[in-house]
Amino acid sequence: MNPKEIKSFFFILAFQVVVEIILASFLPLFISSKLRFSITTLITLYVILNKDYFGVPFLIFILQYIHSLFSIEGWEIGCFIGIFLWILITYIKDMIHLKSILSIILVNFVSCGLWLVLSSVAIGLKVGGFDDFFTYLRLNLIEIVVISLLSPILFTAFEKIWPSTKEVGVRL
Amino acid sequence: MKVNEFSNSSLKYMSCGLVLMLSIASYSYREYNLADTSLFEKVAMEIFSPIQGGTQKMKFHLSSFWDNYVNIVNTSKENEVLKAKVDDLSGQLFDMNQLIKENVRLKQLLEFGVEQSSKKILAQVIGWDTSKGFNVFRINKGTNQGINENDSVITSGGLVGFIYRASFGYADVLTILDTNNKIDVLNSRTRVYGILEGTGSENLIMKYVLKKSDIEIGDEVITAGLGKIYPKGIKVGEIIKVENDASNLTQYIEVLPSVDFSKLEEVVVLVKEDVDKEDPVESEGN
Repeated sequence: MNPKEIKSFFFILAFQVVVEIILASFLPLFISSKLRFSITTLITLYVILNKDYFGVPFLIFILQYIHSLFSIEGWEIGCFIGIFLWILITYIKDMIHLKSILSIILVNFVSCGLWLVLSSVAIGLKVGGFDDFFTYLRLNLIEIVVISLLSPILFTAFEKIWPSTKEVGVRL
Repeated sequence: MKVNEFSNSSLKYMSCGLVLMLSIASYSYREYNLADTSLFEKVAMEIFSPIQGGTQKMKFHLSSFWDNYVNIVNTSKENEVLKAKVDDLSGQLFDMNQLIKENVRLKQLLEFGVEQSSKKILAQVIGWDTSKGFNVFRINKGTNQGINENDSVITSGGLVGFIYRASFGYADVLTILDTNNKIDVLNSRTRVYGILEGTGSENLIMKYVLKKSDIEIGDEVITAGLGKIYPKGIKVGEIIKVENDASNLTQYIEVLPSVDFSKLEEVVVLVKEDVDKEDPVESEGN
C-alpha cells in the first residue's frame, strides 16, 4: 500500500463510521428498529474483490474491528469469513467479471449469501445449537437483497476514492 | 515461479494465517452473554456514542416542535385530562409507598431479608446494534453513573435485558429477544420453572417445562431470580402458545414479551448494590 492508498483507506474508514452511526441511530429512531443492515460487509467485499496485496487480511481486521464497536457480533466472524472469501476469490478470479451492474449485484448477492451461511454456522457452533439457524437466514435475506442492490452505486463511489488493484475489480 | 511472486504469495499466506489464528483464538474466548469491555472499546464508544446521542436529541426536539406548535389545538383539553390523571396517580403513589414500607417491615419481621437492593438509573436509548441477528441497543449512561456489566434493565412494561458492556458514559444492553440471552423464569400462577430464550424475532421460547406441568395460555411469566443477573419477580411476558414438544417429554411454549421493543425510548437500569445498604427502595431519576 502506498501513502495515497493509505489515505484512501482512511476515507473509507471514515465513511464506514458515518454510515454505521446512521444505521445504528437514525434508521431505528426515525424509521424502524427492525430495519438494519451492515455496510461493513459491503466495504469488506469491495476490499476482497478489488485489492490484491498481502495487507488485505489486516484491512479486513480493521474494518471488522470498527464494526464491532457498533455491534456485539464482534470482529472475529467477519474477519474469518472475509479472509476465507478473499482466498476463495483469488482462486476463482478468472470466473468473476464485474463489468456490468447485474454482475456486481449477482456477485455480491452470492458472496453475502455465503457470508450469512458461514456466520450462522459460526454462531450456531458458539451457542451450541442450530435451532435459530433458519431464523437467522430468514431475517437477513432482506438485508442481503438491499446490500446487493446498493452495491453497484457504492462500488462505483469506492472505486473513485480507492481504485482497484485487482483484475476482477469494478469496471463500470 | 519468480522470486517476487513467491515472496508476495508467501506474505499473503502468512498474513492470512496470522489474522485467522487471531480470529479463531479470540472467537473461542468470546462469550456473548458476558463481556469484558476493553479500555480501547470504552474510549471508542465514548468517541462515537455522543453522535448517536445527538440523534436522540434531534428526534426529541423535532417531536417537541410537533407537540408544542402543530398540535397546540388539543393541548388545553389534554392538559385537563392529564391534571386529573396526575391527581389520581399521586393518590395511588402515596398508597404504593405505604405498601412498600409495609412490605419491607414485614419482610424484616419474617426474616426473609431483601435479596437484592437496587438503585434505579433512568437512561435513554441512543442506538441499536447494526447487525441484524443481534438485538442489542446502546444507552446514554455508563460506569460514571454507577452502571456495571450484568445489571438488569427494565421498563414500566417489564424486563428488557441486561448490561452487556459498559464504557464511562454509555452502555450496551443485550435484550431478552436476543438468542444469546437465557433467563430463568417461572409461571406466576403455578410457580413452574423454565428457561426463556430469545429467538431473534418478536416472541420468546420457554424451554425445559415438563409435559405434566400446568401451563395455560395467558399465564404471566416472571423472572425466577436464580441466576446472578435478574432479580426475582420482574414481569417478562405472557404465554401465547402451548404445544407438546417433538420429544413428547417437554412442552413448546411461546411467550410474548410485555415490553414493546419497537417503541423503546427510555429504560431503567437496576444497579446492583450491597445487601447491607440501608434503604432498599432508593431510586434515582435523571
